[in-house]
Formats: sequence, structure tokens, C-alpha cells
Amino acid sequence: MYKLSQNVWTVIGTILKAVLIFVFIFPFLWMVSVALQTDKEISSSPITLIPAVPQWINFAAAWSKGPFLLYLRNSLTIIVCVIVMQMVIMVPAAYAFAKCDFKGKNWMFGLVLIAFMTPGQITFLPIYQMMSDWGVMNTLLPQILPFMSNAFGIFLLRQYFMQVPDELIEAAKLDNAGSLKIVYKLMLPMAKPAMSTVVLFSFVSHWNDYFWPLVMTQTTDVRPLPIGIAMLKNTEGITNWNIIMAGNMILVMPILLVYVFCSKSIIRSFAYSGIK
Amino acid sequence: MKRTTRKATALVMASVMMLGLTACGGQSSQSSGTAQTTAAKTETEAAKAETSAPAKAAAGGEKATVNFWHSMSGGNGELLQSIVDNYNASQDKVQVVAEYQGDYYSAIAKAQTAIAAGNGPDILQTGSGQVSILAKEEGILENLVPYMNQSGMEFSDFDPTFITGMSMDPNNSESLVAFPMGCSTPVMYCNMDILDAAGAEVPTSWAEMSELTKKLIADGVIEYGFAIPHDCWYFWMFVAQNDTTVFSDDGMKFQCVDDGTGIEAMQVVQDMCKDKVMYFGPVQDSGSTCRGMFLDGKCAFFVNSCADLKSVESNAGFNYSVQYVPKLKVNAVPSGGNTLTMLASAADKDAAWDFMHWLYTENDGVATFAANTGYLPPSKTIAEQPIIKEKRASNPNYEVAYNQLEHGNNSHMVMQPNNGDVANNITAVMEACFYDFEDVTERMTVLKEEVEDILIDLQ
Repeated sequence: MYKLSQNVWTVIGTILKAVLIFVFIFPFLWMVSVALQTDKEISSSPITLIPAVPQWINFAAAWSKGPFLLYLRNSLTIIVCVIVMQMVIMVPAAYAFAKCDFKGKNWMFGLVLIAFMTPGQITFLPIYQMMSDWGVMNTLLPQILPFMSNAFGIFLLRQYFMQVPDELIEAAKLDNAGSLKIVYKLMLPMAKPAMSTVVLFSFVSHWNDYFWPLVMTQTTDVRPLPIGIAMLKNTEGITNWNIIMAGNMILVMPILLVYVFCSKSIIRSFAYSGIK
Repeated sequence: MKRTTRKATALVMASVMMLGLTACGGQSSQSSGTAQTTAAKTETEAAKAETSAPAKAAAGGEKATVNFWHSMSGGNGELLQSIVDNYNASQDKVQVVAEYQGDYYSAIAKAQTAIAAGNGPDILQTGSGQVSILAKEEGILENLVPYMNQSGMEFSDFDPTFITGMSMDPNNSESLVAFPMGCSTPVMYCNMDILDAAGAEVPTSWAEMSELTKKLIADGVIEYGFAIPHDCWYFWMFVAQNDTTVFSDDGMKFQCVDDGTGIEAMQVVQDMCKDKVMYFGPVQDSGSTCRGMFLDGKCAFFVNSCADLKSVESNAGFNYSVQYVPKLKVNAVPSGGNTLTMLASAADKDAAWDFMHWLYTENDGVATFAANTGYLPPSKTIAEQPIIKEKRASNPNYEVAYNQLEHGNNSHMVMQPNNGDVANNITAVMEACFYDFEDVTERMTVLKEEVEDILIDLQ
């Protein structure tokens, strides 16, 4: 009787999981399907799930609608610069907040938390003004400099570093390790799950960001992929969803590749941060 | 080995970062496009310093640069770029740099930010409903009348429907802050195969529409009579068709509720929704959904912007025609679309004007834009351009859309109250009345209070 009841729950659980997987994966499959459909299939009723002849040419059409190589280069440059600079700034800052005593520490950490809780829509105006005053508009800098530091990352890493026993740090100091060596050789390797979480969140959010680059850029030369994709949409008339979805596929491909190669680390890091 | 790998990784990361920073600092050596932008920027700064006329720039051997921000993407964006390219090639004094800045709403938000930082464009394309956002602040937009006078352009050359709302003071012909550019009005697309099979005529009033389509629905020919997108535009249309005005003359009162005419019009529309004569489109992707229903034969008629002409033309698998939108008491159609404004902070206003003047007087300018998109010519001069004449002669549907301008009515724009807050409140009431069939009188009374509060805030 107990075994039967257990089996029933297992079946229900499996069905629920399957439904959940379907709910989450369907939009993606739909994007793939539409990206491979003809104009006629898109507007047909009932909807086409599997295209009769996959239209791979849609990808070429999307790619040729704008300087996508330039957009891709800009996106990559922005993402690499942002992540590298965040590592350089965020890790020592988190270590300092976790393990060092200095005047105004709590007050400064409060500022970090305020930055963490302030949405970009509030700060974009003064930052725009600042970037304009510095004369760096129409360069990639307004898309990089404001994100050199990551309040969420500092917060998360600090919490992780606080769990590291002080004795380990003392032992390292006895071995003549300086602060930087302690941070990058001792603390950072131990904080891999937290670091991966921060890097992944940073990667996904900056890779997909539309609002900030739109506000901070005025010319095609410094625009990233999401704006190029948005420009595929017709202002009036029928929207060529197949081309737009092909563009979206180009946009999400790097994220998918990251997932394919780092899925274990991603799952571990998401589980670590409690974000599911 | 491991150490070497680490060193290599660090070196690669450092190199990429340096590359990135080099790219950030100045990409001119890597891309000709960037070089052009940098050059353009330098030219703009030079122009700012001298506030020179294009002639002066030409004399100095340099082209004056005009930064033109627009909201046209996809095919329309490509068309606009080709028009700009034609202008640039047509003369050697001015170089217009056209850049897409997001849809109307994003572009206006961005323009506000950029203007505050002293970084605004010289010419800005914005939605006709968004002009007032910039126009209400003094000194943001340039008054175009002196330039028109200088170039011999007449205020009266513009179609009154399209020009309404482009001046902050409707009684002052000496003030004009925007030129209508992509101009459209609603038209009715008809499935002629369905009508011919039923032996019916095109309905000219909503009463005829109801009578005809109820029969077609009962016979199982169609699911709905006509589809109309979710848009505040149609509120202005239905109220104006009741031979009334939405706002009082001073723009402070929601008059159509006080005199009951607005409630009466909305009641007629709600009844059509209840009878499935009218299908009010969904909030998201409304135009595409309604168009899809029409193209699939689920409804016999489709009321939407004439700018949709090209899309319907290339996708309808049946005989169709464009007709006047049916009337309630009178024929009336609002206008919409986009406009061109020159900013008061423009570095070289004469150069900016040179481009605007060219757009509104040459066959390759707005006339080409209208003929290739389905937008209507905003002025008599543009309507007289060969490309428009040819379009009207060869495309009877476009001709109908053009002729319907005799019923153009943009009275709701007289005091420019078509701001986002008013429109949002109106569409909320449309949703309540047309989706949920809530009491029209009750909702319109609440709407009146909300809108009048907004109008007070606007002053």
C-alpha cells in the first residue's frame, strides 16, 4: 500500500516536472521554430509548429540587415571589460568588507547596499550627464564604466568570505602572504561558486541589456547586439517575426554555449545563491 | 605547465581588456564607420563653435554635420536611410547623420536626457503625440515659421488635419514647432470576396456595418464583423464621428462627457462589441492580431492605419479594397504618425533647415517616404510631387486613403492634450467597456475626473 502510494506520488511528480519543463522550454522552442519558418507559415492559422522546409536563410537575412559583426564585437568587448573590471574591483572590496576593520566600514557597506537596491532607471540620468561631461559619449565607455563595480557581487562575496575562518587567513599571514595574495590565492579559489554566480548574472544581464545601451549610445558604431536585434522590427506594418527570431537566436547563442559548457557549475552556483 | 597556462590566461585577459579599452577610447583606426562618426563629431563641435551657415561650411571646404535622430526601424529605417543618403549626395554643404534611437517613446525619453546634458540631436523625429512633451518646455524646440518665411514655405501648404497640434498655440500661425512627416489616418480594409458572395455593398455607417455583419456571422461566414486595434486613436475617432469634440475649447474640460456625446458614442461601440460586430484587439501586438484575423477571413473588415496598406497588399489572398471608415453621425478620422522637429540647441540651424526644406520640397524627400510606406503626403507641395501623383494614379486604395482626408479631424489635438497619461486612462476605459462590458456612463464619468486632473497638471 505504501509502495503504491509512493509510486503514485512519483508519477505525479514526474508529470509536474514535465509540465514545468515544457512551460519553460516552449518559448525557446517556439523561437527556434519561428526562426525557421517562411512568412506565410508565420501568419498561417492554425499556427505552424514544425516548418515544412527549415528556412536557414532567415539567419543570413537577419545577419545582413545590419552590421552584426560590429554589434557582436561591441557586445563581446563590453562583456569582457565589465567582467574583468568587476573581478579586479569587487573581490578586494568584498574581502575588505568581510575581513578588514577600518573606519566607516559599516557606513560604506550601507552605501553598497543602497547601490544594490537602486534601479538603473533612477541613476541613468546623472550618469548620462557625467559621461557627457567627460566627453566619452559615442564610445563604449558609458556601457562599461558604470558597471565596473557590482554591488550585488560585493554583497554576495562578502557573505561568502565571512564564512571563511579567520585562522586560515592568519595562517596565510604567518606564511608571509600579503593581502592581495590572500584575496586572489586563498579566498577567491574557495569562493568559486559565489564567483560563478556573480559572473553569470553579470554576463546574462549585460549581454541582454537593451535600455542602458540605447540611452548611452547614439551611433551604430558603439551599439551592442540587443539594439541591432531591436532594429530588425518594422516600425509599421507586418513584423517579420522569422527574421527577428533568427536575430534572437544569434543573440542567445553565446548564453546557450556558456550553459552547455558550464551547466554543472551554473546549477551549483544558482543552488548556492538560492536563486532558482 | 599549469602555471604557464595561468600566465597565458592572464595575458589573454589583459590583452582583451586593453583591446576593449582601446576600442572604448577611440575606434577610429579600426572602422571606417567610426572614423566617419569621429569626423562628424569634430565637425559638429566646429559647427557649434561657429554656428556657421552651410554656405560658410562649404566655403571652408567642410560639410556641416546635422545629427538626425529617428525612430524608423526595419524596412522603414532602410528607406529613411536611403533618403538621407540621397540628400547627402545631392549637395556638398551638409552631411546628415541619421541614427535610430528606439521607438517613439524610447526616443523621446532619450532626447530629453540628451538635451538636458547638452547632447541633443539637431533634428528629432518623434511621434505626433509626443511633440507636446518637448514643446511645452520653452526653448527646447525651434520655431520653424521664420525659416518657412525665409524659404517661401506657407503654413497653409500643410494639410490642416496633420498640422493641428504641431503649434503650441492653435490661434497663432507664427508658431510651429514640428512638421508632420509620416502621416496616417485610419481606413477600412474590406474583404471584397466576402461582400461579393453576400451580394452586399460596402457599409458606410456603423449601423449598416452592424446589420450586414450580424447576418454574415449568423450565416457562419465570419466570426466577427470588423477588427480594430487596441489604440486610443479610435476613441478620438468614434467621439469625433458623433459630431462633437472631446475637449472644451480651452482644452481644460473633458466636454464629451458633460454633454453626453462621448458616452453615446462609446455606448454604440460597446454594443457592437457585445454583438461581435467589432473585435477590439488585444493589448499586445494588437495591429498584427487584427490584421491576421482579417487576412485569415475571420472578419470581413479591418480598421487600421493607412500605413498598413503595403502589408495588407502583399499578404491578402483575396480581393480587397480600402474604403472610408464608416460614420456614426458624420465621417471623421483622426491623424497620427510622426513628426520632424528642429531643436533650439541645433549646432547649425541653417544646415538643419536645409535638410528639412529639401525633405518637404523635393520628390526624393518625404514624398518618397510616403509613396513607399503608405503614409499620406502631409502638404500640397508633397502631394504634387511626381512620385505621389504616380502612386495615386496607380493605386486606387492609396487614392481612397488620400481622399478621405476631407474628413480629417484632429480636434482633440488642438491644445495638445494627447499626452501619455490621458491616452493611458482612455485606453483603460476602452478595455473596461469593450472587453468586460462595464457600464459606459460610469466609466466615462470617472474618466472625466481623471483626465481633467491631468489637464490641470499639464498647464
